[in-house]
Amino acid sequence: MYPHERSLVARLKDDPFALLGVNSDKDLDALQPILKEENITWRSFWNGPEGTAGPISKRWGISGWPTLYLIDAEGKIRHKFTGSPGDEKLDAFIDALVAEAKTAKK
Amino acid sequence: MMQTFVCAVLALALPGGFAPPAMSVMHSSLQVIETLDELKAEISASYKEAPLDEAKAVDFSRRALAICKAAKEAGARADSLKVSFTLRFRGSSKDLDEVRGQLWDVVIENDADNVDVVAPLISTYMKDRDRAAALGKRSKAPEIKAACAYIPLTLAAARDDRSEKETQELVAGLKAFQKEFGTVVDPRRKKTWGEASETLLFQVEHLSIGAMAPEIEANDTSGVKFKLSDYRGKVVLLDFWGNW
Repeated sequence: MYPHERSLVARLKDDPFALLGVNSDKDLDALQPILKEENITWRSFWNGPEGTAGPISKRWGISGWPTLYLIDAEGKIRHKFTGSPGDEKLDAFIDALVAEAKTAKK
Repeated sequence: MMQTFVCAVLALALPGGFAPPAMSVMHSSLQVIETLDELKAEISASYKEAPLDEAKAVDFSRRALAICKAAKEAGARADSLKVSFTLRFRGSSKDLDEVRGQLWDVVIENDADNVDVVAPLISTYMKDRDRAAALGKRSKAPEIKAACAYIPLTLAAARDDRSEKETQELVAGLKAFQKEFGTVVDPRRKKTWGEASETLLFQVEHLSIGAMAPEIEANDTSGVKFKLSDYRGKVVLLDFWGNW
């Protein structure tokens, strides 16, 4: 997933788009070098020391990893994917919502 | 069937014949079928040889069904059902679903009011709307009726592609369920169904397509607190991930 996420962030850096994570690694210290190595520049909430059983994923009813929620500029949930739907499909959904957000601003 | 014990059948035919070995379940007058323990042992052995394919999963389940039909007690019927549902076969198979449904049919016919044995099975192994409805209708026990009424709601909630109208119907269905069964205790979770269904209701109301995303306020991976709503005005791809 990382390479496509990096390219998404780069491609949409001037657009109204943000990639946010909810990271469910139990050990935050062990994660730090990986963030550097993989060049993970986007921000993640930390799900806490319980890992995948942490409070955010529990509240959001996450049953598989990764799960992706695509939220529009107004804060409404527009798509949900348990497991990645594939890079092309995901890009198309994101692009449509970004276009919508830009039109709304004008 | 390969597992028929010819020796036991012969023993019965002897003049003044002696009792068949207690370990085997009598199926019909002269046919002796294997025990559940024998079937379980064969299943465990097969895992060591190769991953379970569809044909084998169906065969094992049919044999569990034969044992289930011959069993004299609710516990033994439930155990046969579990053997089929816990097979390590991940794919989808119409034939397997059919046999598993027949296992449920035997349990529904014999044990619809047996709360201790049947109620804990429902949430885990009932995957079929129609049979859930049939069991709920046949049973007089509120614990079993509640668990059955919950099945179509969880099945609908598991779909990512509900329309907004279907979501509204599901919310109404969950609220009606809470009204009817809210005080009944779920023996598996050891909570009332009112409590047990609260998480699902929250998820359907607030995490379905079309709902406003619930706020998240937590530390980032560097220990700095932030909120999901800080990003309002931007399209957000929220990715639940881990590096494991």
